[in-house]
Amino acid sequence: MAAFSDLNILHMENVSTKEKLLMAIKLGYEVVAINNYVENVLVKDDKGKSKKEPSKVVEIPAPVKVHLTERDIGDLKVKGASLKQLSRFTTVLSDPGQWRRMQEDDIQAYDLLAVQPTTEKLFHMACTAIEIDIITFNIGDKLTYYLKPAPVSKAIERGVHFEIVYSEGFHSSSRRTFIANALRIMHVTHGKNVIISSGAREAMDVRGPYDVANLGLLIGLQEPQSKDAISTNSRACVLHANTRHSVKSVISVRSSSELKAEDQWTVEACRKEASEESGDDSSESAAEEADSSFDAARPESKRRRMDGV
Amino acid sequence: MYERRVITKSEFHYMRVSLDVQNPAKALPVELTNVYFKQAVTAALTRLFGDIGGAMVAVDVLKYNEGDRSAILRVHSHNLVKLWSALTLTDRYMSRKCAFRVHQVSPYLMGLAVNSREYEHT
Amino acid sequence: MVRFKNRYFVLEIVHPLHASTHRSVQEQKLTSQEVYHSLKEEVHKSHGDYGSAAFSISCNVKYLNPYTNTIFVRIRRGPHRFLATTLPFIKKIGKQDNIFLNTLYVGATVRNCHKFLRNHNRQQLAVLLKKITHPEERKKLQTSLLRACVLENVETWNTQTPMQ
Repeated sequence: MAAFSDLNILHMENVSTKEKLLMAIKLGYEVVAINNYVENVLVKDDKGKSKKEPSKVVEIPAPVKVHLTERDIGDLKVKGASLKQLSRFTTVLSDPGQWRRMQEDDIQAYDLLAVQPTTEKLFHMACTAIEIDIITFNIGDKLTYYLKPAPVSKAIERGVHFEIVYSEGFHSSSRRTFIANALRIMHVTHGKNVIISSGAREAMDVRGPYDVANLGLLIGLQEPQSKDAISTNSRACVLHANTRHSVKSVISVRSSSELKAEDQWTVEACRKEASEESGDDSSESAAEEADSSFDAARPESKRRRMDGV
Repeated sequence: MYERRVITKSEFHYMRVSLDVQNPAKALPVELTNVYFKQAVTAALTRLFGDIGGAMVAVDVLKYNEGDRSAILRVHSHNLVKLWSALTLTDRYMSRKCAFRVHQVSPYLMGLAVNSREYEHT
Repeated sequence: MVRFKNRYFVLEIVHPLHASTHRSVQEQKLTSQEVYHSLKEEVHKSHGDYGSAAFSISCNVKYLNPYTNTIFVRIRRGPHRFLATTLPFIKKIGKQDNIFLNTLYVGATVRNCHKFLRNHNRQQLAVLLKKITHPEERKKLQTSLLRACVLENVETWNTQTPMQ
């Protein structure tokens, strides 16, 4: 089963992010994403036109990583897990030109990219055209545009996820709109590609994973879907985000020197097998040994050898 | 040949919950007795589900521990989602930031006796 | 195929029997917005944030007749029970505050609601005829009734006789 994730822990200047992470660990989350929220990535000049000048570029903060000691993640270590910290960047999409700015290195350095569209056209653009991972909403305020099924199903096909932030449901003033918007999102996506996250401003805003899964039930998701919303869908979202960094989206090429020590044996084994195929008998027994050791993982290699014989 | 059937036709569901307050060392304006705890739970229900919806959910506090503010609640099985979501979406108790932590949920009271998840690493 | 099923409520606003109907029509003409907001407030009181959220995304006031005080409300089939359980408790709509709502008919299509309302109005006209004692008004009502009946007969007559 996929690990419980909270993909929206807000990083704020005056509140300790470490405290929020400790709370998430205590509650059982194994994957968290620290969210840097910048409202506008472009700077408007006095005339009201969006312009990007070297002197007026909006400073994008670097991805945040909190240092945690062994003792801090003790709760997770007991279960044989550890905390995976990701960085996330969220911005309000109010202008098509912002996407060009988002393709620069300082924003692309983040693990996850999220946008909050403000109009129907921009929502359509976010769903169908641009390379982002999460579409989020200002869920405590009335939605200014309709969620049409067509762009939503296109987004689901592409692997873009829709986020519901549950900390907006705490305040009585925004609770009604929070539930109404969550219901709308559920209706239009039919529960697919929905992730529920905390949007925690303080440590006390985080809720346990099973509690959050129950919120999914409240807004009409089925039981397996609501559990997926905090685990499987989040993992799918992170994997989708990884494809932005790889050269090809299915295969990513890395140097063998980058492999961890325990994985170095695969290099030897592949080399042995390659020489075996070219008809070298002396290394056949060695290749056999190597082959049997990763038989389960590489069944096709066994098939090839049998064909050769 | 063999068939495994799981039947949970229990009428009730039992939950072990506790109220986690911010700055627990600082005393609350009114100390949380069992009556106030029940009031907090029913207030959460009526806020989210209204006079009719909240009143229809019959919650019983079976046991209450004032020290760590934990309790065992009983609710009819078809009302479980309502109660659970009302507890999740509560964030204040008398102007103090708080959260209801649900530790265990089971259709049988015996199921709450043991808990392998709540290991505190010290 | 996912099909959105609706429920249509045909409601009648009932005023206290002693109040004069004349004054209420002129002074307090209702709008569908007022009706929607009053219903939403009542559902919020009865079913809380969840009820009023579910209500707000699926409910419309489809038709409002301020003269006969009839309202058509459309709501999706799931959240319809929030509205249905709240209706008995409504005492105030817009500025009219000593009223109650009488549910005349609940249907799944607006067509059936129209059919019902048409038959209901016909019966109400007959009831009115009995009640009205003032000779001028009585005459007015009788002529309009006759016109309505004759029109109907003329329509059926036209379809039955062949063209010559």
